[in-house]
Amino acid sequence: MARPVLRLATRFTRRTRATAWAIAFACMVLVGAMSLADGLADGIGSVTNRIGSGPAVYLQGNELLSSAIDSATLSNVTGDFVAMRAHVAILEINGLTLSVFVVALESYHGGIGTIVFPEGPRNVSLDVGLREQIEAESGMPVATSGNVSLFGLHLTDLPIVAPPPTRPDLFPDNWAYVRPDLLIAMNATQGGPVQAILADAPLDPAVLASLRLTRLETLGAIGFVRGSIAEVQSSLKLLALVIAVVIGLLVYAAMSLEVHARAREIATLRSLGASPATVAGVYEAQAFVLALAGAILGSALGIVAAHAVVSFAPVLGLPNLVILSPPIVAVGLALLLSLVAAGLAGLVPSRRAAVLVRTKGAVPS
Amino acid sequence: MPARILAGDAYLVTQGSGPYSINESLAENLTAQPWAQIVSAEILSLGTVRGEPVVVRAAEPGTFLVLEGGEWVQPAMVSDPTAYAGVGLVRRLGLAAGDNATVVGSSVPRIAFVHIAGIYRTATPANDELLVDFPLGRLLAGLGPAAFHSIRVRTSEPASLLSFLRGFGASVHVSGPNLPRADIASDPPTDERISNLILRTGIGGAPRDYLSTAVAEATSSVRVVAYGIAGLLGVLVAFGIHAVQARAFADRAPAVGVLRAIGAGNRWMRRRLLFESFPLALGAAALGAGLGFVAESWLQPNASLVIFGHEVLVSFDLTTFALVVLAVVATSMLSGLLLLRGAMATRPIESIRETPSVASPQSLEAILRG
Repeated sequence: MARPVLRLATRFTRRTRATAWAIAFACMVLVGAMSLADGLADGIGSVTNRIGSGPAVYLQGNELLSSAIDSATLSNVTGDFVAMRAHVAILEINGLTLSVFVVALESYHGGIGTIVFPEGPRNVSLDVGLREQIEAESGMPVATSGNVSLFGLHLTDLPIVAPPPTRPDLFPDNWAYVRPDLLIAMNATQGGPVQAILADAPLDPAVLASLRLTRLETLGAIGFVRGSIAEVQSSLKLLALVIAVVIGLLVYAAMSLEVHARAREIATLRSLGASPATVAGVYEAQAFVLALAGAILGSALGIVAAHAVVSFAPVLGLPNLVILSPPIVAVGLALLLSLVAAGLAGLVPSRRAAVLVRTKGAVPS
Repeated sequence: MPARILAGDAYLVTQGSGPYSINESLAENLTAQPWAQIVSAEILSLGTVRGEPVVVRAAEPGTFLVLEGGEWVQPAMVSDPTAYAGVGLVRRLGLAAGDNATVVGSSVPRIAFVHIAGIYRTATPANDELLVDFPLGRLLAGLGPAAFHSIRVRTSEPASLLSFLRGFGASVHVSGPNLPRADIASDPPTDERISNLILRTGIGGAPRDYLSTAVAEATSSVRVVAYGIAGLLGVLVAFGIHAVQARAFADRAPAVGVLRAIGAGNRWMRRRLLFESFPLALGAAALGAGLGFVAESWLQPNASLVIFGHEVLVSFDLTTFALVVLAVVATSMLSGLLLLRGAMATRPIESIRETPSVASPQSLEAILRG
């Protein structure tokens, strides 16, 4: 019985062949679209990697101000870098109350941190832009002392000192600078962690992984384009979901018709000794075979279609940065989606086939 | 979309090939003209906020909102006028008034922090942008003091605008509603892409040509992907139409045989098919396209498509609607004619026969017999 059952499960009729083609076209769209989007991301990546994008800035998460890197782990980071702490504070000076960004920098060399600026433990250095703002708003020179509120604490009579002698081009000129010690002394929990690590050269990937650091692209145009392509790629996830639903509906319709059309055949099988589970298995397997054949064919069509689009784009005068690579993820997703959708969609028709013999109309005359 | 981001429905003045002209002096002189209703000097930066692509625009908030026809959802707090976020951006990034965020440079490496002081709403792509002040805009864009990227002017007298710019000696390009692009004291632009404006603004702009070219090529290459996906979806839709019609036609195949047996000619059959199926195809296409539009409108903003940091706004466009309907009807007609040709190639007696003359090799009997 096993061999005929296998042959029944793998037979293709005109109806199921059409369904397999429909699944193939659906998978072609998915694989082709994902290949093109991934190819564009690869192409843009290869171009942007050749553009110097300034110092490497690393943080935890995607927002520098809410990043919190454990300062105890910084000694494990090899190479020279600067640990940056940044917080929002309230500055009271010249009779003004301003919301300012307070930054503390600590240079690391060989795993040892050094604080060079400002010199005094309670000193607050106001950069030139912030000084100009204060002078413009208050109409008087910047005072020599001020109050700072941070982490719920209010520090009074802090010495206000000159702007930093050097400032990286990376930073604006309207920050206030304090020593990291001051932040830690005010609140070790909030002031202790480092918000970002700044390095001239990219850090060791193993260190990045262990500290769960991600790179902040400080050259926005590159980040913008990369992020935009990521948006396109994430939109394709919705397309994958739609295609899974389409495949499910196609398989459900095809298998329902198949079961309906073969009611007599099913009754004959049962009379020959096939159990309900065997009958259900035949039609469930048929759904899987359909989906598998469609997905394989569709993946091949999708790869060909993507290459055709990329090849013909220059002919149509379109610029082309798409670099196609073997779409392993796309093909895997197409196979997985097809099989899962077909498996789920085939459940109801195959169960109906298993119980069909009990119905009056299915009994062979 | 780029044109809507840059100009909206106003006249756009951008830098020409001559001396740098888009600056505070030109903006102030334009503002002083009696025919200029609104003048908005602006700086655009491509950047990221919380890992998401965002267009950061430096502009005077009040003027900008009047020009965009927007309104304050949450007006700015007096003490911290650092940045204002559009409702679309707030929704996408989960921002709120009072939040702080990190912004980065556009064509030069920069880090800056902004305090979201207020939230605005517009019915334009600006709804997805971050509005900052000019010093920050210049820091992010790498522009010199007093420089802008563009000046938008709303006026009912574009001829006066052109005349003023010619008299002022500015080297600019001017474009806008019902106005062919005018190049004043300038060669025609070689590249009108938005990235070119943002990253290479002529004299005084960021001189990073490789970056400018790369970004321009990257943004344009998205069209290859978009057209490719559209083409693939078109093939899928065409196959779907053909498959559905083939299934429906299979039931009518004997009727074709009967009609041919009683003397119906090929031309009459084709005409009859087109006559019968055209209204159905037209109705189905209009219904499908209409349902697509309604579904998209219903799903927004929860399932909106975001491209280059801007939500793609759904608006009913009669031309697009008509083209979609036309494409579907044409596909349906073509498919019907192909099916009819196949049916007419079969002899009438074969079409009319209900049972196959030969047992199918895939029948249960054939399989069980091996």
